[in-house]
Amino acid sequence: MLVIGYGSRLRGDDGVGWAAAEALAHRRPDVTVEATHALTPELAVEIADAPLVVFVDAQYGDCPGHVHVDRLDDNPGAASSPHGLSPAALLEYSARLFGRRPPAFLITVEGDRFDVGAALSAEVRHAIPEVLAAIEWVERRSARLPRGHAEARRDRKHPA
Amino acid sequence: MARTLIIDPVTRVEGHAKITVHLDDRGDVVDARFHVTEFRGFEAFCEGRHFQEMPTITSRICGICPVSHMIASADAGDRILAVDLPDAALALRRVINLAQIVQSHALSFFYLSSPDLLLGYDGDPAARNILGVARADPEFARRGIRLRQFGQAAIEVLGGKRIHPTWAVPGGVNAPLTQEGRDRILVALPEALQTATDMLDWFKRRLDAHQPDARAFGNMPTLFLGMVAPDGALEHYGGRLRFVDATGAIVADQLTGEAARALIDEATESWTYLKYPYYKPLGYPGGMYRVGPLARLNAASTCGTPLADAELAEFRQLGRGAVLSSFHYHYARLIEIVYGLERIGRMLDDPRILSTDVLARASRNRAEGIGVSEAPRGTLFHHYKVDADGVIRWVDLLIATGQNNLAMNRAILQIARQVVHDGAFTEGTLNRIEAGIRAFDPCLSCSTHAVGAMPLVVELHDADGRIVGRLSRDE
Repeated sequence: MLVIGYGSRLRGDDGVGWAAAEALAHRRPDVTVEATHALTPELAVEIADAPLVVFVDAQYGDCPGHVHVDRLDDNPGAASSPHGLSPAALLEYSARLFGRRPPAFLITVEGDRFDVGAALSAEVRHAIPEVLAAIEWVERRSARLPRGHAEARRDRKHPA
Repeated sequence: MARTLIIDPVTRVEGHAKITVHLDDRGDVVDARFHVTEFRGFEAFCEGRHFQEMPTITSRICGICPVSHMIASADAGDRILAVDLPDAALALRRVINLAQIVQSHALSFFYLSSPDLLLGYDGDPAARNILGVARADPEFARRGIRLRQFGQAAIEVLGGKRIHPTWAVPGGVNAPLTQEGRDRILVALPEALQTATDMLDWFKRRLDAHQPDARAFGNMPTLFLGMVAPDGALEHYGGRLRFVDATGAIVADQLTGEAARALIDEATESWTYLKYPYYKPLGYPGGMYRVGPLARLNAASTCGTPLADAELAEFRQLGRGAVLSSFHYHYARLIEIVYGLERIGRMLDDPRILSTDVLARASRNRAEGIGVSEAPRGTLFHHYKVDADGVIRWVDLLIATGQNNLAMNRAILQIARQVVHDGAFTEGTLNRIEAGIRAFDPCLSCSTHAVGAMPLVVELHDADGRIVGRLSRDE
């Protein structure tokens, strides 16, 4: 499994991807973990080699600390900028350039503050164990999902 | 009715900016301006911190070229310590800087500029990006990605992290290179060099088709600033600085950071946060100069590596003296990738690179220091003043993108005059103007800040500021 936590550590809750990635690296040395500011095309090389990919990011929302789990479908979405690809666009890179599109999930945490220089909010900090549990839930569940199956968006907290 | 044509934001550059093109009553271009619309003020953050912390702090200025800031800052710290670096430490800083130049140039060429070069300025804007390149020519995109990955992997081997490493410190580096690390870099080098030379050949085969761009994209006489070795060969770290003029004649040579900085002054304009550095002896704006790959190849006597020297000889056929067209930043960038890979291989083949003597220890011995590195986009100065305890009291950062500001403005004016007639424009017209900026590969993150993304919007304003026309790429 490859876990990619991304976002800016200098902008409050946007750093939750980094924080989760670092916590997971400490807890699960068997997992390949990347922490990065943005999704860049060269990550496609690692993605193509991974049996399962989990992206961890922050999102805006009304419930700080609320964790969402989505299975990524085949829609590449907008390419956006070269140092800010969407997870789905990165998966398309992997498929087109390196011949493989592994099953992938996006775990997001609703943030409270994204100001420059802010730390993680208490709600988001307390959600990190839940993010780790969600990653491991995805890992277990992915083994049972048929390839190409798109799971409906889960708007409630995942069953840890 | 006089009108203003606005490109906001400029796309496929690092950071936020807009371009305004000012038209007269007949619809002809009278002026063009490159506006940097963000303010960051990083210098003020640093006051009150210890100079030993500065390489770590200033590497956060940019996610694309953190290494350049880290080693320029460490160089300034070396001056404050008043130490000579151990040979291995200097060599290792040179290797990581070249690895950064390889990855950054690969990003600029493959991710930012190749959509224009491969798909055309008038191609479908929705497809004119790196994903479009991947669809049109997967092998081209694949090799570009792997070339950038080489540079990032080398940075990670040396600095421990691919982004924001904290490895260079005043006095040297905080960890030597291991045999295993050296071998990891060397084993990937042949593929990277093959890709670089193939891409250079690919670009040269397209030069004839881009002659109109070469004539119009900032093709003008200026001074050029770049770092050279004592023998005049191309250098990116630990060398001296050289100004040459448009004929290629040396104007000032073997300048220390202090001496070079004393020759540069900065002007300001009310409509942009980016200052206008200029060569002081020629005044403003007559002292316009350019930095970056084109400037470095114009300033250097040779590259000092075989493949790059052969390419440099061919490159120089494009000019009488210096190569003047800013379009050839692309060409120079590709030659520098070849040079960087050759030089990395040469330095890693020297067993002294594995020395564990990589840090000179001292405490504050001077109150002031100027450090210099050749960042991917050009010469970078870090200037610090400290108190008796080594606490920073004053900081000045002179960034490569700022030093190209005068030339970028001149370039977009030149392009706009070529492509905007009678007030008529298309999306492709606007993209050509943007491409003139993109050739310089400006990094606005370094001088300001970069957040998010916005669609490209073009507005026509009359002389009273009323919007009389609008074009958006989303429409």
